[in-house]
Amino acid sequence: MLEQYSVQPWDHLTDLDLPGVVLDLYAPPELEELANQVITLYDMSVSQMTLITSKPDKGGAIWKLDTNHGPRSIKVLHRDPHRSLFSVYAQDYIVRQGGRVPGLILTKDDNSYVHAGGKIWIVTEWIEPLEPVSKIDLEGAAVLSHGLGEFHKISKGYVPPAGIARSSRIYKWENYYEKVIAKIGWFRHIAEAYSETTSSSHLLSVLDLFENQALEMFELFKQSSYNKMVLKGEAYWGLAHQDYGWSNGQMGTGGIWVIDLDGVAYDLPIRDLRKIITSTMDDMGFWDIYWIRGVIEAYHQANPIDQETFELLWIDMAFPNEFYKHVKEIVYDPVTFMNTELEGILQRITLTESNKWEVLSELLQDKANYPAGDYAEVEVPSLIPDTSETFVFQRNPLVIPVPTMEMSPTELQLVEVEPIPLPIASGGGTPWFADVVLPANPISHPPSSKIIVPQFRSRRKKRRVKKKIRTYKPTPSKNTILKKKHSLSHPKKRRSSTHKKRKGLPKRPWLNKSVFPVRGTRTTRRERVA
Amino acid sequence: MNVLMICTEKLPVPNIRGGAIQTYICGISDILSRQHRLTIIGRSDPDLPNEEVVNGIRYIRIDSNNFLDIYIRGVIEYLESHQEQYDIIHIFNRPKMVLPVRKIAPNSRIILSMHNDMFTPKKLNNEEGHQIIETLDTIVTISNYVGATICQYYPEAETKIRTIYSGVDSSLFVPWEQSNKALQIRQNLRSQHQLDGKKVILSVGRLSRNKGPHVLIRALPHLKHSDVALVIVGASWYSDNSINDYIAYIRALANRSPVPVITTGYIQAHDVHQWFSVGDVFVCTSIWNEPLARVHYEAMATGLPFITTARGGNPEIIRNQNGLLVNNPEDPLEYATYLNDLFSNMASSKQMGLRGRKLVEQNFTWNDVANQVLSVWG
Repeated sequence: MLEQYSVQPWDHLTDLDLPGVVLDLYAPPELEELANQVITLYDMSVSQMTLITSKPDKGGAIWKLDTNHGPRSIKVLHRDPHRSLFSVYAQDYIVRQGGRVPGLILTKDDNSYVHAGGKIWIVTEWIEPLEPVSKIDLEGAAVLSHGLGEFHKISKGYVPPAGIARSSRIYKWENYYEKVIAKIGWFRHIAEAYSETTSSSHLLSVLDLFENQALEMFELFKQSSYNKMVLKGEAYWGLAHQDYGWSNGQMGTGGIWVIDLDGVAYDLPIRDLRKIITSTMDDMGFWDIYWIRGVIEAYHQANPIDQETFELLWIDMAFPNEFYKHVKEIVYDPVTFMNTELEGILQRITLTESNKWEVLSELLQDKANYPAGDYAEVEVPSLIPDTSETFVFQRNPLVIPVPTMEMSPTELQLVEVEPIPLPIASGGGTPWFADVVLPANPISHPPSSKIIVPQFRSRRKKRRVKKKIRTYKPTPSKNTILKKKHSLSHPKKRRSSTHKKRKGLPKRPWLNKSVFPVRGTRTTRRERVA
Repeated sequence: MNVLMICTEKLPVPNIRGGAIQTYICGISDILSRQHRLTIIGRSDPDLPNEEVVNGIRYIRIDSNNFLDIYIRGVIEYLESHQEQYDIIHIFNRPKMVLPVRKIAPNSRIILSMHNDMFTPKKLNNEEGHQIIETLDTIVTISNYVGATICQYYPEAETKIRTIYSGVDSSLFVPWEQSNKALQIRQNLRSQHQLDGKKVILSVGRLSRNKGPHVLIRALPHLKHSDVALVIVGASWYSDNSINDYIAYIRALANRSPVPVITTGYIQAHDVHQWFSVGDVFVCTSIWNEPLARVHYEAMATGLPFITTARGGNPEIIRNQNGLLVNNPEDPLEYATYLNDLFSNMASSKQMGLRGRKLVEQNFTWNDVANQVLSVWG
């Protein structure tokens, strides 16, 4: 630990403290000073340091550095250090596997991070040129999706060093769905309690619909192969990015580069894919089956999916995630929310719903196009104790027959996930601890981890483009969603004139035309998949 | 005998930062140490030295950073380097500690106290579980429910399980009718929080969905009494930094409640008895399968009638008509019905509370608990 200063959020600062300053383009001077101190631990001289963006509510920030070794970035990770280290080692792993993520720069003492001010700091390569792919058409989305698939595939096999807590959501899908269903119930309670607000009755009128959807999809989920699939383990499935999109996946040399790995966690990778799909459908205001098929196919090219995975993706798309995401703010300030934003939200959601199920039911047929996965039949032990009147324990004067155990909810999870430290899985019943060497204190004595940076990386000039706010333009003709004319998905036809030709981007030989689904030839392509 | 107790990696002993297990150990350790030589290993704390002897009990504190694997490693290292022979090693709520300890202490009797469901297949693999059960001398549980759950996964454990209910300091938690000091505390706190003349419903515990306080708040509009207030001890929603969706939700409900809802914020373990003196009725709203919350003993010791849920081990505490059982803890109307009854008959409610007090004096003091532990140690 470098200094007594402890990194804290600064979103409490008001216009009075900092007139005219945009908080997420501001870092407190103490934080900058600490950053400078961290920099001295690296073998580089910095000619310029520019704050790129920050998270004032969490206490995170990233600066671009112009150094004698080329441009780099320095970032303070806002999460708990134990949580951050999982992500830092994940980034290192992905780099070593050849993934397109910024490489970690080592300190003079060969460490891949610094612990200062109660947070983890990393210095990484600054990748440039980087440009967001187009959001207004399928081609850009397909490229983005393909990049996601590459990221997921290359993250497989990651296991953090001993002593580092694992971040994992992979076993929590059931809890997640159950939690959302419970919260939809909360919306009802609040709408009833605040019935005088403008939109409370509108909300009440649609709640049953979304609640029923959630319940039905939850039933389908419970009947799915999820339990068997997750038995393959965390490392098998690899990492989900958790915040992937047009900002964090950008086009650079060789393909899509993935940045901002702070929140990576073990998860079924389709979570990331589902978020891109449903948020885009939400933005567009209607469901576009060609778009969805294109994006799934592009993903599949990079990280092949099987039938069971497709089914889970479908269920997750069908589940009213977007409804929940938009309405959940209601709990914080119900009066303002229901008098102002909620009406617009409900109208948009209702609009988007109008063809969602038509599209989903057609999409479901695609499941048969994917190969069946290989998941062993495993007996999942029953976790609910049955009647226990027979259990009478000796020598306790107050013993009474244990009442019948009813089917009661298994222990519910709290909202936010704390990393649960689990020992690395061992086989055969030998105690795990016998073979695992724990560092004395992973924070104060970081294990050295040499990173081999491939020679060619350092020669590239890289420039990151700042985040842009993109406005979405819907695909050319809403009326032709299900018609064949001018289909963006047909590779032989010229794209419509509204499609803008992008200049100056490098060719992407790695992206073959089979990314775009070709109607009528799907089966041949599927057969090629191993 | 030379006895070692190993507490968990989460909170220190003594219970300066609360914790049910830590409170349990604190309650019985003095009594136990009069009969045996006692060492207690716990996690380190900035306010506590890493080694000390207090009242004849030796305390060793090991760094854990809240992580079990780091803690186990530290405990084993300490035991290896000190080479002391213990007749009994009594481990608290951490089955995963058992095999490492057995490895370095092949001759000690190992006893495991279970305070919740750590044997679930979600947390412990089957083969390891069988080995652990095999190694143990006795498994002490805080309720029959916990024992039944373990036997569900590991039927061979049945002969080794022994239920020892927890206890409470019956001189600290007292009915205000029987103590001037408690009466004064009651009057002071009540007037400070505008609770004079109100029938106070008391709920103690974290604000989480598992704990279920939202259902109680939704019951409030159905109460037929106007002079009621709900006091929630243990958390608050005034600190925006720590608010989450659930807390925001119950705050939103409480803001529309016809009955005042007061949150006290986090209260230190040694101060919480004061709030028990404020209450007239105690409610435990747990939705999850709670092993058996210790707040029941605290409420009974204070002479409060209580309502609890038919979940986990909670029903085991209902005896001699000391409390009422809610069968569906997600139904606000059930709570409302019971509360209306209790408030309509304050005299008989009080009798219910005093029956609870008697039950505690006879069965649930720390003396009772310690004696049972001593009998297990042999």
